[in-house]
Formats: sequence, structure tokens, C-alpha cells
Amino acid sequence: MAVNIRQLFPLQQARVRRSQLARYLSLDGGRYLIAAAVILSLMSLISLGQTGRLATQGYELAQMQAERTQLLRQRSALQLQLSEAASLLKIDQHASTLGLRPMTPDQAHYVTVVSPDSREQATGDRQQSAAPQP
Amino acid sequence: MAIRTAKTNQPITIRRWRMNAVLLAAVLAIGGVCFRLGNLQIIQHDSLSKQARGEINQQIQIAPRRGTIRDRAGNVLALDVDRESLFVVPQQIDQQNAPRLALMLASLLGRPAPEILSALQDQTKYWVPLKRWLDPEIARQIQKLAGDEPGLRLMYEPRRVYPQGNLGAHTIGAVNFENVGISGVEGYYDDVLKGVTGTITAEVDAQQNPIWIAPQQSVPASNGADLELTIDPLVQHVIETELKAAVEKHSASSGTVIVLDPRTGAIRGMASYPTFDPNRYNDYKPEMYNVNPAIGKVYEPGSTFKIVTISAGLQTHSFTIETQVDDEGVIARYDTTLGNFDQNGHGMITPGDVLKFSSNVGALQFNEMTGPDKFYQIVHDYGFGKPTGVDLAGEESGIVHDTKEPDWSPITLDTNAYGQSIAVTPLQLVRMAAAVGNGGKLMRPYILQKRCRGDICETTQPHQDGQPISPEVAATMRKMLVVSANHYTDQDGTASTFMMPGYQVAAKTGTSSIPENGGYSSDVIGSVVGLAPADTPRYAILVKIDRPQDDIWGVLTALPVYEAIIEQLLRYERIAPDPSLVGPGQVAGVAFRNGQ
Repeated sequence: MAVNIRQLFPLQQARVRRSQLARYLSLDGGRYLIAAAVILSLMSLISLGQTGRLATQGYELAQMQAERTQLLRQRSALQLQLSEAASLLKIDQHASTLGLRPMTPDQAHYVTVVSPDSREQATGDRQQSAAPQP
Repeated sequence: MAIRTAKTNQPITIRRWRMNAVLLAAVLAIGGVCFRLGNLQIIQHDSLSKQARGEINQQIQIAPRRGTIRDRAGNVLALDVDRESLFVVPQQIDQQNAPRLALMLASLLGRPAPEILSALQDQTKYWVPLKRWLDPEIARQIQKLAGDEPGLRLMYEPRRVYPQGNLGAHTIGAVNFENVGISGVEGYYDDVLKGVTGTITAEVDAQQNPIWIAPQQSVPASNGADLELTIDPLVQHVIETELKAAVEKHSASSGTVIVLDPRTGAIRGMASYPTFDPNRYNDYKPEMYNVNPAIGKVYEPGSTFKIVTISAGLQTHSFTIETQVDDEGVIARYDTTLGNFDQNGHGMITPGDVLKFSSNVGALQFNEMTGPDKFYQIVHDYGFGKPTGVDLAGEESGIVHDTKEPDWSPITLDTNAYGQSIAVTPLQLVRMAAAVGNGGKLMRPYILQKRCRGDICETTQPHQDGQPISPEVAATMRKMLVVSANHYTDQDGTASTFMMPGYQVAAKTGTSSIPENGGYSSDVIGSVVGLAPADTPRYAILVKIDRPQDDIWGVLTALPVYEAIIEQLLRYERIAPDPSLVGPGQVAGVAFRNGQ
């Protein structure tokens, strides 16, 4: 009769396997290679991330410059409209269509207004002249 | 009893040669990669880098913005606006669709359809301009077409626009299609207005945007300086309106009006008619937009030059205001008869009477007292015979035949006395009048008030070019010119009326003959030069009307223009009239119009 004489000690065998686990991790010189690769990868990722951000910001900057150019164009166009509207010829024509006409010279009335400063000075002069002379 | 043990597994064996073969293949592949890498990165490094730089690195030019031109009140006279221009890449046009496209574009662009079709089908060219500087509305409609047709390209280009149209056109000038100033202020100050082109040398992406992570060199663009002119918008509007009305009313060939500030030489207004629209200068003949008649055309000043004659004699003490000569209407000189415009004499006349009656006979006799050396010295001191130095392109010098000229003869002194045989520009003449109004100081005329680049501005300082006459002689001349002005209104001989009631204004008229084919034409030039107000002049004004068809003297054409202008300018300056200077039947501030 054939019997399996292999002894089964699950816990013991598991303990043995666990103790032997470190063997798989003892990389000797390889661990340094892996560590270097990991560090290099991290550095590359950081650099790539920065570069990507910079490129994105550069693109956004270019977009903003294009927007600025567009706004400057609009500004020039508005300035042109304003200048055309402020032209005396246009104002003259517009006033005529509204039924207005230029003032005739005989309609001008000139009024002399004495400013407060000159009035005070004149008053001061009069008082001085009215004061008894030594 | 037999003990059965578990059958042990047989070890798997791999034949060594297969492993070696795989390893070899891997080594060869990696070796090949390394070799290629080494070849590209090390051996061909220089040539490939150069090639890459050539493709990726580009130098992009940054166009500067041309400076804006404004008048004294800040109104824009000239500015750059970006307008879209239409170009076509024929290789990218769907040729089956080309005829239909040409018809659609023809109606939008205002060009014949066959012409457009020929451009669309011209495969020998890569980039063909169809129309530059489209109206924004038309550009919007073409944008819709361009969406379906990749061969149509719209690009922004700067376009010089003059929003005031033909106002001050000769003074402002124009730029050509390459944005280079060709006349006027645009031409004279082209270097200042155009700015400096900048560049960016950098790696660019497919849209020609610089890639910021790569190193780049940039030289920023420097926009052109903004200019502010001395032109007053209301003065310019008034003189242009009055000039145009007079030229059209009298069927004259042309005319010029200049208004100067005598105290500084600043040009407040400069108008010529006919004029042009600088927005479409190429619709006119070159002599229209290339020549400013106010500085670029000369003429014989006629009797307005008597101001020089009399002031020269007084300045050099050759005679006094009480000296008299006999005006018989005609006089014989050097086998020639010279006479007054109407051949009428005025008896014994003083220098003031010469101006009042505009006596040629009196003027030449007083000039003979002065003598050629002193006379021509004063003529040159007044700046005649050389450019005034105004900052405008295309100024002429005028022609003065003095004693140094080989063809000078004594009769030239006589004819020069009343403004013949001598050629001046309108600006030279009005500058002379301005000197009389400024205590004898001859100021250099200028058009640029201020130039600004960013926040840094530079203001033009008035420059005195000389002192041809003393303040006393200038004051005497002004008094005589006031009498001369009022004489035009003196219809009853009582000398109780005023050219401009309420004000003292100075004026002298002139009728010039036009040299033609060795002689003189039957047409004339009528002109008036004067100062308003006469005592402390704010304006020196010249009005010149060329070849009026219904006025043989020209004066009756020019004088009402002068009066209309000073009427409006005195009101603009808020100068109140003096009631003691109003004659019977006159209204203060209302000019007496000849013929009314």
C-alpha cells in the first residue's frame, strides 16, 4: 500500500516559508539599481510635470497676448469711431439735420462780469483813498 | 511493506543554444539601437541640431504701431487701425468651386469676377493678395466663406486712417501703401512716427506661438511717437469752410488760407483748396497730395509786399512817417512807365497813404529812398528767399533777385516795392505779417506742438529767427495797417467806419499778376494779409484766392473771406468789442462786407 509520508505541518511550513521570504528580497547590488531607477523616474516625473506646467502657462500667455491684441484692435476701432463722431464737419452736418443753425454775429451779447477779487481790490482802493491822509 | 514516495518532478531543461540565440538577438537589437542613438546624437549632432533649429527656431518680427497724430484739442487726425486683408492660396482652392467663389467674392470686393477667378486659378503663385484693408462688415462675410474654403486667408494689417477726412489734408499729409509718410507731417516726421520693429527669436509651435520653455531672445518693438499739432480744430474748420465757399462762388482755380499765432509762430490753421482725402490719396494726382500750396508754391505777393517796403524804409531811417512823395498815378523809370493799379494819382502821400491807397508809384519812390542794399537786407531779414524752416515736407524758398544776382537791374528795386518780380510762399508772407504783430520779432513757424513716447513728452519751444524791425517800427506799421483796413469800408470818405466794428484789425490787400510764357497772364491772384486784433494780435492771417473768374482785382474775393474769418475767430477768442470802435450803421462784431 502506498502512503504519503510527507509530513504536513502547515504552520511550521508557513513559518519556514516566511523566514525564507527575505531571500527573495536580497537583491544585493540590484537594489541600488532599482533605487536609482526609482529616483531617476521621480526626478523625470517632476521635471516633466514642471515642463508641462510651463508649456501650459506659456500657451495661456500666448492666448492672453492674442486676446490683448484683439482688445487693442477693438480699442483702435472705437477710437476711430469717436474721432469721426467728434469731427466738426460731422457735428455741423448733424446740427443742420436737427434744424440748428450757427449763431449770427449780431446775436452775440457781451456781458462784462467783475470778478470777486477785482471787486475786493476796487473796494480796498476806495477805502484807502477815502481814509484821512496823515 | 513497500514505501511509495511521491514521484519527484523531472527538472525542465532548456537547450542552451536557444537561450544563447535569444540573448544574441536581444544584444543585437539593443546594440543597433545604441548605434543609431550614437549616430544621431553624437556623430550627426551638429548637422541635425542645425536643421532642427532652422525648422523650429524662427525670428518673428513684431511690427510697431505708427504714432497717432492729434490736433491741439486732442482730436485724432491720423491713427492706425487693424483691418483684415484677403489673400488666396491657389493650390488650396477647390478649382471646381472657383468660378462660383469668384462670383461671390466679386460682389463683396467690388472687383470684376474674371480678375478674381484668374487669381484663384493661378497655380504658379503661392500667396496672392486679393484685397487689402477690408471693411469690417465685408471681412465678417468673407470669414464665413473662408470657413468652407481653406485657400482663402484673412490677415490683419495696420491701416492708416484719417477720421477727419480732408480736414487739414495738405498739412497732415498721407502715407503710401507701405505705411511710409509721403507728404506733410506724415512725411516730415516719418522716422518719429514709424517706430522700431522688434523681434523674437525662439522655438515656435505650429501656430507660430513662441514656446516659453525654450530659451529665446527678444528685442521689444518700440511704437512710434504720438504727435500733437498746433492746429486748432475750430480755426481749421472755419478757414476751410470759408475758403471752399469763396473758391466755388467765384469759380477760382484754388486758394490758400494760413492762420499763425504771431507770438510763437504756431500754425493754428493751414488750408488749401481744392484738397484731397488722405484715406484714398491715390485717387488724386500726385501734385495734389505731394505739394502743400501754402509752402510749396510761390507767387508774386503784389501790394501786400508794400508792408515790407515801408517797414524797410522806416527801420533804416531812410524816411519817416511824415515824409511825402508825389503820386501822379504813373511814373517813368528806365524807359518804362510804371503806374498804380487804376492809373489814378493821389497827390502828395505819406508812407501810411501808400498802404491806404495801395499806391505803386508812392511805394517805388519810397523804396528808391531806402536804396537796394538796405531794402534787400530787410527783405532777407524777413526771411524771404529762403525756407522758413517749418517742420513740413516740401517747402520752397521763394525767389528774391537782389543786387548780387547777375540779372538784377535798378527797375527790379522799383517793381519789388509793390511786390512784383519777387516770388514768395504764402507762409513766408504771413510770417512777415506776424513779425509786424509781434513787436518785430520773426518767429519760426512750426506745426508740432508736442511729441510723446509713452509718458515722456517733449514740447516744441518757440524759436525766434530774427528781429527785422524794431518794436517801434512794428507798432507804427500796425497803426498804418489799421487805417488801411478801415479804408476798405470807408464808402463816404469820412473814415468813420471800421472793417470789424468793435475791434482794431490790420489788413493789406494785394493783387498779383501771374507770370506766364515770359509775360503775365490776364488772371490774377487776390490776397489779404492782416492781424487781429491789431494792438495785441492773436492771429496773423493770409487769404489768397487764385484766378477768380468774376473779380479782376482778386481783392473783392479775398477780402470777404478775411473778414468772415476774423469775425469768427474774435468771437472764438471771447474778445469783447469796444463800443467806441463802432461806426454809424454798424453792429459790433459784424464785419463790414465789401459790396454789401
